[in-house]
Amino acid sequence: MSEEELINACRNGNKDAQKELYIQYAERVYTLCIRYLGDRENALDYTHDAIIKAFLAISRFKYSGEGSFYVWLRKITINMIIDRLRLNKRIKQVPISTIAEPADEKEDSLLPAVPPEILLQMISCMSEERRIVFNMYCIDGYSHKEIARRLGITEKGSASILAKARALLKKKVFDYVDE
Amino acid sequence: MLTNNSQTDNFVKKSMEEFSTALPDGDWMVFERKLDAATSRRARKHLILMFWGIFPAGVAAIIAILIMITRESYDDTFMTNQNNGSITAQSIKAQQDDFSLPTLESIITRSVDSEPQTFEDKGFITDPETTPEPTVTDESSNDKQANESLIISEKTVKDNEFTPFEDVSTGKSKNVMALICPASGILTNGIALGIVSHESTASKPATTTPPGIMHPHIDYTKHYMPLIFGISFRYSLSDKWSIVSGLDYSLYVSDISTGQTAFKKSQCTNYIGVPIRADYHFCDFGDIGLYAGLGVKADWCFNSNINGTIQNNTRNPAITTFLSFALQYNISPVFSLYLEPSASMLMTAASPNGISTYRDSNRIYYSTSIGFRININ
Repeated sequence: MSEEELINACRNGNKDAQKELYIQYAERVYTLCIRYLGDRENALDYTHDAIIKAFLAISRFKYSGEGSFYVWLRKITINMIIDRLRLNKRIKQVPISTIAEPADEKEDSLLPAVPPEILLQMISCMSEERRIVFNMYCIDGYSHKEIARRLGITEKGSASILAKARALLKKKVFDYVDE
Repeated sequence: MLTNNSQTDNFVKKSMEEFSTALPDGDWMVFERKLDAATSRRARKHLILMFWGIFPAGVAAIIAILIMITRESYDDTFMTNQNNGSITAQSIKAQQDDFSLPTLESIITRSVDSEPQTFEDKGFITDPETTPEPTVTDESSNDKQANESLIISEKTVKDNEFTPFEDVSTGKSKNVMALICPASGILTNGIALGIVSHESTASKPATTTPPGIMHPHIDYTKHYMPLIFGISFRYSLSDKWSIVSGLDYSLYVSDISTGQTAFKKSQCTNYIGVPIRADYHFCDFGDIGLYAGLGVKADWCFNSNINGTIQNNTRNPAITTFLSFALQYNISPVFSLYLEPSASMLMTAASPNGISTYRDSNRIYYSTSIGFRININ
């Protein structure tokens, strides 16, 4: 069945279609949750909650092409993670400091040597604020303005956190390659 | 030329988007159990909301149906302001019982000793062009034959436009109506938290009185904010704009104190209306949507009664324009519940029987509408 047919079947409560969609997207959502939460156990619960939320609201989803469902699902997941993190613990606003200087080209050329699972682990090890801002900006394509609005911080604060996250990632990559 | 940061970001983005982590074994079964539990919880929540959404509308519909089926034709005991203007001894007695008017004996005695009794003595204002002053011709309440001569023939009454204001119906329905009217008022008031929208003294009907209709001198009126129950349909023109129409039931309840004897009555006026509105969808909070709308509505009065006494009503619709803000809870893609406070402006005469209602007293008025909506697309 095509993605659109699967979605229509899910709207009617078809269990097989739900299972098929789950199998197609659950691992990607799980990886996304690990990136944001840094914790695999919690990431599994959040994955289930996000996909359940999507299935319950699937009647309001308007299919607009291949991949549109995952974009919608990803948005639901990220919003849910941020809302719960804000509810549990206020995301701290980092004082504006000097932006880290751009790294040497040598460090950037080391990136292809890092396997994706190690890269994921490096991102997961960052502090919560840096992890979230880095994921939202670099991987999920949010602007500083959107990040600031969602997290309740300023745009400059978002840029500062991102710079620190980048600097930290590059240092970890350098350390990994050196090993 | 790309900055180093951009290259880094692009590489990381590409790696992470293509990479996925395997889920633990048996994960689907765990997920399926969670999904089933969430679906059951949601269905229970919807049932509860549907019950509390439909229950008030159902109660109002039952009350409206009771009002309609217990409506009865006029009794032969009535007061008239017609050509011979007689007052029957029975009707005076009925008034005396219910509204603490002067005693029958004192009325009849006075008519012998003084000027012929007029309606103004009772605190009524009549239309001088169509309603000549009545006179009491009988001097003894015990004279049965004299009483009979007072009774106007049905034909005479039916030939003329006439609306009794005082108590004229003595049938069973009067007791039922008397129960329903306050019950309707209690329902409306209870839900509207007893909000009294307008109190006035010495108010007069704001609209032109239909010919031949007698209306009393009103000392005091208290209007309660109307509550409107309805069922409606939404047709979406786009993601943001939609057209809404349907059927509304409105109940207007007022307390009226009339005449020099200062007795109080409860007026219930029932309307069926058809609104049409353009809605703009602001945003969603989960399953709850927030809308604003601008529209026009036509209401027809299908029943109006004062303390259970059916009144003659005009058949012309009352036209209002309104601005509303709606909270809509989406039970499913098709069915929703709504709560809509609105501000309306009356464009035409609304009073169906010459007595002012809430919206005669306030041309711009506020109301709250609740009901059930069907989303067509």
